[in-house]
Amino acid sequence: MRSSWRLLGILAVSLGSGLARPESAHAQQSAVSVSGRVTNEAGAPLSLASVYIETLGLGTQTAEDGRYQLTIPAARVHGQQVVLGVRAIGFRNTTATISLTETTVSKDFTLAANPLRLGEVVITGSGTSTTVEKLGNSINSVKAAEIQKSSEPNIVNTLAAKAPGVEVTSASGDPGAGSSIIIRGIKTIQGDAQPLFVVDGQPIDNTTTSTNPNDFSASTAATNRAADINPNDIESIEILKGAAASAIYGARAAQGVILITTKSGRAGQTRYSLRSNSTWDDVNKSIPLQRSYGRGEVGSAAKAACAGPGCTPTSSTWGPAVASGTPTYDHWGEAFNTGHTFDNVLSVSGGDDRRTFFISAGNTSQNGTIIGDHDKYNRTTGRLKATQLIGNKLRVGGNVTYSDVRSDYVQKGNNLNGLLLGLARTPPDFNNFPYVVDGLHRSYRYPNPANSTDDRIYDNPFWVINEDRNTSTVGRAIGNFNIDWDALSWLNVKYTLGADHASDERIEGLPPQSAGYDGGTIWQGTYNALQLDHNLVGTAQHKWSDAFATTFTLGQNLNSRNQRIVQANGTTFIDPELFTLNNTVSTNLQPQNYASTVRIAGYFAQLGVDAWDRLYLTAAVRADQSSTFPKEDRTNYYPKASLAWNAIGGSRPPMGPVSYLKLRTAYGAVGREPNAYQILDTFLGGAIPIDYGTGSTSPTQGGNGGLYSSSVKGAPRLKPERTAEAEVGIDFGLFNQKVDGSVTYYDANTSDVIFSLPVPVSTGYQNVTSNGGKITNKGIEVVLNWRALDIQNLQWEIGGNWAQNRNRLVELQGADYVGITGGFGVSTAVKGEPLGTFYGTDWIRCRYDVADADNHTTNAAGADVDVNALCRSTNAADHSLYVDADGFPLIDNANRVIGNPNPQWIGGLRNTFTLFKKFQISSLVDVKKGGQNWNGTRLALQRFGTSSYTNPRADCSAGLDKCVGNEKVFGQTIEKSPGVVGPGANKSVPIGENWWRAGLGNNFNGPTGQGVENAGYVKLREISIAYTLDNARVRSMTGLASVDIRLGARNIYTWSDYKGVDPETNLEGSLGIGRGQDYFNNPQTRSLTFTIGLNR
Amino acid sequence: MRMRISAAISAITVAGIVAGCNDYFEGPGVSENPNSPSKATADQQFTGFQAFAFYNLTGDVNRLISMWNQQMAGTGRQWAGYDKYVVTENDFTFGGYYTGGGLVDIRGLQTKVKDDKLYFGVAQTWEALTMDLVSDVWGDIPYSEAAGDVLLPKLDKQLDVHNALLALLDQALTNLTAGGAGPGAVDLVYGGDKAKWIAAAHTLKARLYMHLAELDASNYAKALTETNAGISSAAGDFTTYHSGSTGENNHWNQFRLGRGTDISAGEFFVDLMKSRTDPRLTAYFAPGSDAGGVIKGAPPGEEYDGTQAWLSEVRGAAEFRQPILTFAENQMIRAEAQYRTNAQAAALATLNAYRASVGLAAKSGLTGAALLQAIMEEKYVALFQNTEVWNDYRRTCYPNLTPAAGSSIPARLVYGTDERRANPNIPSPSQQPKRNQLDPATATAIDGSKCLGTGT
Repeated sequence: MRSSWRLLGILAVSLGSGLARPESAHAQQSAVSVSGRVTNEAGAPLSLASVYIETLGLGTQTAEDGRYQLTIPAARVHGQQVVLGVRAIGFRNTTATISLTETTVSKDFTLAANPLRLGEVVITGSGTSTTVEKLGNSINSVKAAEIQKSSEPNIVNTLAAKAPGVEVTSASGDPGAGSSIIIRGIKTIQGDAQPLFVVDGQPIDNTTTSTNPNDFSASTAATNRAADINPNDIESIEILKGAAASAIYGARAAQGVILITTKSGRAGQTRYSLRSNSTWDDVNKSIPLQRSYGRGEVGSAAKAACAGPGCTPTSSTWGPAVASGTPTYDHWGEAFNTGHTFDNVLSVSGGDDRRTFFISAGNTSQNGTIIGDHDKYNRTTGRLKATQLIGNKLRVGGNVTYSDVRSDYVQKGNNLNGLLLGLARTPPDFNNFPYVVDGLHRSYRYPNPANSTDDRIYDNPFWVINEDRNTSTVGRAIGNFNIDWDALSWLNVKYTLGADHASDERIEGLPPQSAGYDGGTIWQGTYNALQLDHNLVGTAQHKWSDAFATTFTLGQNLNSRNQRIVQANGTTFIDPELFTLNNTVSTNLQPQNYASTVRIAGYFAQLGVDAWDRLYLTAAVRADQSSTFPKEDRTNYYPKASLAWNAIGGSRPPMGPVSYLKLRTAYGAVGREPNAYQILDTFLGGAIPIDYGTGSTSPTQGGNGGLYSSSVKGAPRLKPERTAEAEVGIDFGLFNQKVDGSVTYYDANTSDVIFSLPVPVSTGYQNVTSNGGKITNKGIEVVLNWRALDIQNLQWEIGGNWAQNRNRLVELQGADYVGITGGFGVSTAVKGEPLGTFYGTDWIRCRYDVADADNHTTNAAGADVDVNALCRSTNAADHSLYVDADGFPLIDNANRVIGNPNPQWIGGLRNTFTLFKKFQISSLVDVKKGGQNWNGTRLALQRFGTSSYTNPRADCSAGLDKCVGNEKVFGQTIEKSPGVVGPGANKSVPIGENWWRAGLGNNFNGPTGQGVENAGYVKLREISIAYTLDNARVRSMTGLASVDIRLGARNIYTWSDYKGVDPETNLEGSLGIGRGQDYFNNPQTRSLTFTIGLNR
Repeated sequence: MRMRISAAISAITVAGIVAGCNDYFEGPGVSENPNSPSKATADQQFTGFQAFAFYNLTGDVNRLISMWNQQMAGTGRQWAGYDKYVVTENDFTFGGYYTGGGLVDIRGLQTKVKDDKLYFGVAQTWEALTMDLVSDVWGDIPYSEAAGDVLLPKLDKQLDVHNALLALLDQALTNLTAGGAGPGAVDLVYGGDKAKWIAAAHTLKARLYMHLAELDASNYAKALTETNAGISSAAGDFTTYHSGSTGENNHWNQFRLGRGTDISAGEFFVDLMKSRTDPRLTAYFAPGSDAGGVIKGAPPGEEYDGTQAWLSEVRGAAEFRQPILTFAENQMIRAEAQYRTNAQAAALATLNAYRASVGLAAKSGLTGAALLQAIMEEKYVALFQNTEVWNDYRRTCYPNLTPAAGSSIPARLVYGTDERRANPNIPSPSQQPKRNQLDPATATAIDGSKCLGTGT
């Protein structure tokens, strides 16, 4: 009780007077105040460094200015000497002995860099931890400072380019858009490829769900649920990449684990921090649109003529050149402006030797780059984390956070009601304003609205922006109760009981007169997710001799996840402006519900052996039982073992330039559990549409309830997917750690991959859920850091990471290819190819890898052509383009592999300069080499004639067969290919409407493959300039300890050959494994951030 | 110290007990799917099966065959093309006859009702009826290994399938005769009426024997015997169940709502009925909206222009129960079988008795080919929209249709992609036979013409 009062007292005094000073007691023994400043060797202040007196169990943390202050209660002072230690991530632990003889002791520390983080504790999951040098597998850490520098509201985006082998792709620049994170390659076909997220020991939900069920290609951006976490609350993130690292999470860890540790209070002076970010965003790259030609067909505006109301003129922009003086409109520019995000977070933290607390409140309010008020993301979070020591051995803690997230979205993608589909197809000479005339929706296909019921075909983009309602309101509570008990001198017990509950209320509404829904439509639903987790871990340590120590951990994990979705679709509004289900004609109401429960019981044991202070062995096994496993095979085992040998460093002297060398190897197995109920047979009772009708056939007839078997056969012996991964690596330091780095090679084999195998319908089923897939991922990861310059007033550090992953679908149980989640009809799983491979039609080409019999075509004369034979006879290069006698290529209707979205390698390069110990300037360059996108947006707009790639164009006003001008040679100046064969090789042909609209130069008539483009990029991902004001004058003027000012920019510039929006685009968002599909997705943004942080 | 150890141990033990609870992995929502049942009762499965069987018997395939019979005609969109035999392996597939609502569920039902012989016999008869249709249309089909544990079922010869179905019907008759509580009201066709099921099973056997007769003429006598015990009046007709409720409508009615005028009355059929001054013309058809009250049929593939007739109000109603196995068919099989077994007088009597029942005058003095033609024509008219008419055409070349394209009317459908792509036992479309085993290439009309071409 007394302590509580004192805590309150400190709070009050601190708030009142500005600088809390412990009062000197008049007793014989006074309290001792120890204070000082912690800096790096360059003299720059180090924040968040722990300063502690081990023997007294006291500790505190440095502020932004590097200052600390620690009070030793009078009762514990008797003039003794104590060891004061300092610990900071990335620096060597340093100690100093002080005498507690005066009431104030001043002690400054200068910490030497410890780039390899040797001796630092690293969290390894499920309540286990170790020190860096003992790690036998690679774990990457991302610290608070790096997270803050990225100024991203979505936690996943903050990880972009920060660690090798971690590929982050944000779906779009929409506020609240989801982000996908793929670690060391995709290891599933039809499952979720996202890693497991764990916050303070509590696994959390990171699913992405679309309001419009199963349709991620249209609808709106969808948020991945981990975005509910406020990045400002995070102290560090550990990325468990390989199977050996994540095996402790068993059947949930196939795609790796993201371990997030939130900030905690530290003993000592109560600290206050207010950070305000103001960010301005704009679209970084637009869809290239032409403004030289107007609406029409065959070069004539007359073809578009359309007199009476209700007429829907041509969709095409193949009219004559726009006459000078005729206005054209910047359709893109009209729809976007500068977005703004205001982000504030206030935190208070502190504590004393028995208790700590951290309180934060944050708000992020984002108004995106689409004009108007319907692209918004507003997240308010509150967090309280506190611990209390009971007795001397038992520490109890609680940690609760609440997030309130409200989003407004604008429809996107492959969607007649999407923003860009209609916008980018609008002819440049059509003014999209006004979009409503006399209460009627006006669009370019329906320019003179006559009534409310005719189909608008495409919505006017401003109708989409202003009239649709797409909202999500999320309430999310994540919390846990935890115990850390040093039960015996050699035994520690940790317990965490946590819950994560999210409720998401969605509305997706299109008002009456929307394209395809003349009466309007609404999806309204509630998505609930609850996850409970119990984790009990006991760790026993014993030192057998100076050379030999063991750590044994035994744990139990119980996890239960419930999901419940209730939603309904209503069409035809009664009142045109009320977006509720009650307001629709009720006979059209279609309710849907879905619920699932998955329970896991996991048990794990881990043994760590430290030998001769240089050899570290870790071996563990997790046994998982899950409700998604068949009863007969309820238990699955996930073993791991790793070995680390510190050859040089520590007590071993350097060898030449090598100051540290660790060799490590690891092996582990992890799983991905089947989805709920996949082992069961399913009977369905819903009506199904047949007879093309407005009606349907119901299995229930004549008042008798009816059921029929699902077309997917239950798989009663379905096993979890299993990944076994081996890795070897070295970590090294050179020239007394001036240079450090690591290299890791891994080889992961995933077997029993679950997918829906198409079977003959005569079996009674269309698909059987199968374990027959096999996937391999092999890769290399390299990290290299160099503290290049360290002179008076200037330090320069350069650090890079590089990773290459080779993914291959090795086995598909006899099937050639199967669909994937989020494939958009372009990405599939093809046997022998990387996952997500683009698969579709292409041009007739030389294909030496295809049997000659399968590479024939029919020429213009109607004769059969053996293409490969022709190619061989002219020694043509593989993939040479076949050009027919008329000079044009031909479509190859067979589906073939046409592209690969997986990059050849990815890398990041960070430069950090410290000037005059006050300025910190850093930049981050993100490189993706190779990897293709399917640019369907360009192909579609070539058909419509609005793409800037159709300018210049041949003059076809005399007829499509009489085009003149804009001559190109196929294979050389258009559709560039390794070579050209065929009777029309090297022939020059006019390219205009005859090709783009009426010919094959689009995705409607022509091959899918012509949209595959290199989507590699070099991105200036981040620039940050930070300055800390902490001189005495500022301190006394403001009463603050320090003021940080930071100017940051993100996505500043992208270098890419990609012929469209930013190549970092992902129509299907973070769902599934389909990537690289570009089809009228909302664009990416770049941003500029100004941050001011007030600390005291 | 001791207390702490025991506390730690007991904490772990408690957690262990929690996890050890059996119901942690069992129970509703965990081991049972809360969204869809994992089990169905016999009655639920039977109702679901019947709902989709009605579609399988009178849906897309039936519409196509009715056009190829020229009783109907394709007058819009792809149906105009189908009418001219433009059909690929993507268009008509037999998936629905095997998957949910098909063979898998009628077999599932049989395992549930083994002890109720009447119910069991009903389910077996249903299996024979629906699988006969698949075998008639596609010829050799997966049957002996279908809807079981075989992942890639083999094709059984059409003759073997028919023999298996006849054997199945013998078992069905044994079971039906033995009786039991039966399906009762859940039986949407006969309401569990044992006698009607026995009669229907006999008529179905007669139909199957007729299919075999081209290969072996001794089957005519067998068919004749079955008709003696077959459906004995129109009250015993096997018809589909439909109602005006959503999800229970007649499939021709639903097609008209969904696809408008893509199908209309066939010119050949309308003209034939007019030439016969058949009183059933207005019972079958109603004039097109712009036809001035005249019932006009369309030649194959003619674009709809408002004049072509559609089904009558009765026949096109949402509630109309489509005839599948009828007294008319039983009698016409009987008449043909009598004719084929040299009982021409009896055949004529059977024909005339039937004609009288539908208000047509008796035919007199018919013998030989003219008598057979009269019987087949009567069957063609009586079995309006029934797939069996196509089977008869392939056997007998009656009526004398002019192919809508090329020189012959298609004699089978190519296997659908849903089977072929996943089953290596299915030949590619170009390797598939043009006609089925039971309609051998030598089949000829009585006048000696080869009505189905010479493809094998």
